[in-house]
Amino acid sequence: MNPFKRFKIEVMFLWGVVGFMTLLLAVVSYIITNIVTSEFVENTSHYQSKLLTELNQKAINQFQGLEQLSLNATKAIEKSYVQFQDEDGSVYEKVMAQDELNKTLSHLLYTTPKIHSVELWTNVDIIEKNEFVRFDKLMNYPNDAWAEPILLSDSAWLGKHAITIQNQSNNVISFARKLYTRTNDYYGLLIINTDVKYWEEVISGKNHNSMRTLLDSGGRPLLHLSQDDEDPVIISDFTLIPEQDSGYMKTIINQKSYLMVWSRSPDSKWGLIEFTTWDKMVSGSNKIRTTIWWIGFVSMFFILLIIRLFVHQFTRPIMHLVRLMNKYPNHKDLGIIPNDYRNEFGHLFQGYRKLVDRIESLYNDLELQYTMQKEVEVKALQAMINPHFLYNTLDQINWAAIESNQTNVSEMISLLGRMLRITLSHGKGLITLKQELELVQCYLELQKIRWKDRLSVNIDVPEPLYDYVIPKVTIQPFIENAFRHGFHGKEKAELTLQAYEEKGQLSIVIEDDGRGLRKGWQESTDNSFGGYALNNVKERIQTYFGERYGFELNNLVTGGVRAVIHLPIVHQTSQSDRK
Amino acid sequence: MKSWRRQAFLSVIIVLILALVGCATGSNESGNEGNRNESADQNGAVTLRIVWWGSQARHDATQKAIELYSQKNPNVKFEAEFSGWDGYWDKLGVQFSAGNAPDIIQMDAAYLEDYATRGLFSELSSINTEQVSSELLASGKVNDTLYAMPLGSNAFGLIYDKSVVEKLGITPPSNGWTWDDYFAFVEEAKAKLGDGKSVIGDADGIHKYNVYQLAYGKGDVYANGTFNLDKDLYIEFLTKMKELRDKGAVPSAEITSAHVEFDPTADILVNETILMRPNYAAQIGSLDSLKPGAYGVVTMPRASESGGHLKPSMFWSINKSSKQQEEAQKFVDWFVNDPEAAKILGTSRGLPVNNSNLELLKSDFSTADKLSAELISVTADNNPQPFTPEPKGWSNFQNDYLKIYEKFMFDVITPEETYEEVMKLAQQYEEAN
Repeated sequence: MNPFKRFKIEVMFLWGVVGFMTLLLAVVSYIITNIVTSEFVENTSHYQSKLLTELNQKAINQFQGLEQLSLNATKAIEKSYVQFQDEDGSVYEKVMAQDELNKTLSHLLYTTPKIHSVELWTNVDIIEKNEFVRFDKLMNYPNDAWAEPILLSDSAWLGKHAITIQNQSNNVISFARKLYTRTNDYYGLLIINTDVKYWEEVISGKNHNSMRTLLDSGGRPLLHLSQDDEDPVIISDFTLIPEQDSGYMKTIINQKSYLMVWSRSPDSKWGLIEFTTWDKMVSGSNKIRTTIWWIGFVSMFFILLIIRLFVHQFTRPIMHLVRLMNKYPNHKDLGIIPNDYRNEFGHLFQGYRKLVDRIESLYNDLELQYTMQKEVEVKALQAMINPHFLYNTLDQINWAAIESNQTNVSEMISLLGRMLRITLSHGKGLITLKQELELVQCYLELQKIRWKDRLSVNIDVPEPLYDYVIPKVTIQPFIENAFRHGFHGKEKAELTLQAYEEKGQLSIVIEDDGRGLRKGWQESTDNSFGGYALNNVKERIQTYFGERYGFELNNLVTGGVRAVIHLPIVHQTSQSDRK
Repeated sequence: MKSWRRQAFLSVIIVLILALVGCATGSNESGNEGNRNESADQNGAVTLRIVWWGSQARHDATQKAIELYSQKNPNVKFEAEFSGWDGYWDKLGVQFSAGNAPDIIQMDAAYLEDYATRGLFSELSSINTEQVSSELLASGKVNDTLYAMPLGSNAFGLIYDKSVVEKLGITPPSNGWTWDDYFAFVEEAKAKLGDGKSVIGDADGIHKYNVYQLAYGKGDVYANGTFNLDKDLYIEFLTKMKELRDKGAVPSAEITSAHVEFDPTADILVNETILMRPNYAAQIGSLDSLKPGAYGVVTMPRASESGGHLKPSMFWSINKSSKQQEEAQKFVDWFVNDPEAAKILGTSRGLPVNNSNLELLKSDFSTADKLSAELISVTADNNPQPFTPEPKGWSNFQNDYLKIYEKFMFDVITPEETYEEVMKLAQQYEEAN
């Protein structure tokens, strides 16, 4: 179910904001942390790689210098070696050549401080004069793994290995070069050993805490620089490093993440790699993330306060309205609806006020109508009791008249009785026009007994209208009025009754040639001027059919009164529904 | 179902028979060739055997290049054998005589003619050589047929101590200069240098004179496999040397004998006893390491012809009996011309012969490599002489020549007598071979 339809505005508002803010915070902190981390990694790797390139170049220069040094020495070594080995040479010459060899190699050693020791492996025995210039026979060349690279090469770097001279063991990195005579014959192996510490110095730069690895042209680690034993550099597979000259990547070694930055010389292909623990990379962004969360929570607190205030201000009029509505039928005092709102709430309150006003007036109308209807009903009941009583009495009188041969009286009484019956008409309020005409007819015959030929009556009602229904005793009072007031004291009387249908209305016109209406007839409420009967007619018509209907009463220029009754056209069938 | 099985069985048998016949005819055709060359199978997979010698750095670079080629051509696999120079030629010789020599072979100028004339190599017909200088390419040709693709180039030119020349305030030599300019430069420099310092080294190797003879259009001393020494020109050159030595423009014999090339203290160019000497481009690194940034390069002096030459460092050749001629040539073509390959290989075989690749690599070069590249390019631009390898068996001639030249240096013999002795020595070598 839609929560916006279910929960209270305030609750929805607060929780919505809290949820949204938390989500926003999470997203923002995630994005910022990522950006910061990647920025940091990029920055770090940028500077590291720059430094590495520099250090690498420095190392390469040193290494290449050594390679060159060994190359440069080959000529001198060959010269002495050839002399030493020359079968035709004198012993003196041989000793001199041997000294020369020692001198050449010692020279190498002394002029270049980074050289730890020099080895010359040949097929002949040469006497050593200096413990750091060593001669040995090729057949004794070690078959350790570190010594292997030279076996299949003309020159090669031999990785870190230990050398013991004067009971002192030193780790060295060596450059080995095979020596060939001018005639391209292999005669010896020159190995220049350099102290590892020297190279560590070179590749560490000034930062002794870094973890770095120096790789040779084949991607073989020559040298590791690291602090602890759980050193990632020893176990990583360096062949996985992409071919680019420099770059960085995240690697996971022993379940620990590292940033690996490398720089490779495009020229010599030697490379330097630096490892940095990933924790270091993300520590900055973690700090930022924590800060973001703190700022987020604090600002969320204030925002919530403000929102609460806002929401409160917004929901207060609504709650007010709701309370008003709940109280409504019991407390109708419209004075407590606030009228100082000029915005949407103002419209709402005003609308509510109008609504209540309208309801009130409707109520009042309804009440009025109700009372009126009650009165009519009471009157009708009263009217119903009278005729019955009268009818029965008339019947008695009729019999009495017949017994005493009063035909006129009997006839009049029987006419009156018929009239009464019609008037009763089983308590129905509405009767057909035909029945009403019958009532009028009876009344006229009654008058005829008195008026004899002096009364002329024209009734012109088309037969199709007979079935239309009108409130009972609607026409009769007008005729009665004509006789009672209009014809009073007149010699002759003429009465015309017409009915016609026009514009969906039934109009009944009654004209007499009597004395006309007295002034102020409408104000009189007593029966003496017929005002009561006519008001009764009007009330009944309007109660049944509404204010549109009724009658008009005018004096005619020729003398007499013309009454026009306006009624809706109601068929007999629908009449039963209207009861 | 049954007939399908029978067909499959039959086809297997047929394939087997065909394979056996193929092997049999194959070995009939190529004599006692081993199985390892039968490396192309039906789906086009090819195995190339490749051998080279060199340093570990070269091994690494070459293996990387091979790997890249295999990645780009998944049907080609390599069996690489590499070693130092020692034993390489013995092994190759044995492999050829056993008939299981590799498909692609790294060659040296000294061995090329021997192998090529024995018909062991294929003509390299489908390799794009547009970017390779024709003089250099000529070094891979035997009887006008390209049997070996040069891989690195080297140039014979002059290297001079730029820093000293600048200090003296003399016009530095310019590329394409003549022998007259050269001697004028020597005189001028000597005048400024004063006593105790010289300008050029003595001509203590036949190569130095050779440049002179080539410039005057008398051909290489080793031309056509005979010793070709122009008497008049030789005596003229030696007389000039003696004259300069007497003037002190060339150091005394004692100083020259004490010279040890590339020795930090005993090299007379490095210790500024002289300020110019002929050198191969590839050796500039040695000098530059001893006195970084001090040296400049210039072409060998010329006369009617140029004096310098381009020398290939080494070659790729293709075994004629290899079954993979096409694939082998494709690989060599790629190796020489592909920029990516060039990037990986760097200068592991000397400066690349492909000129556009050389341009590509230049930005990464060290100062020494840049100087080498410069000497190669200026030499190439000045109509270099073809490279003539030392004839076989003459490798010791240099040493023996030096002994005679020393006598001349110490004024024991005259230029004419020197000529006589050298010719006598040459005759011994000619007879011995």
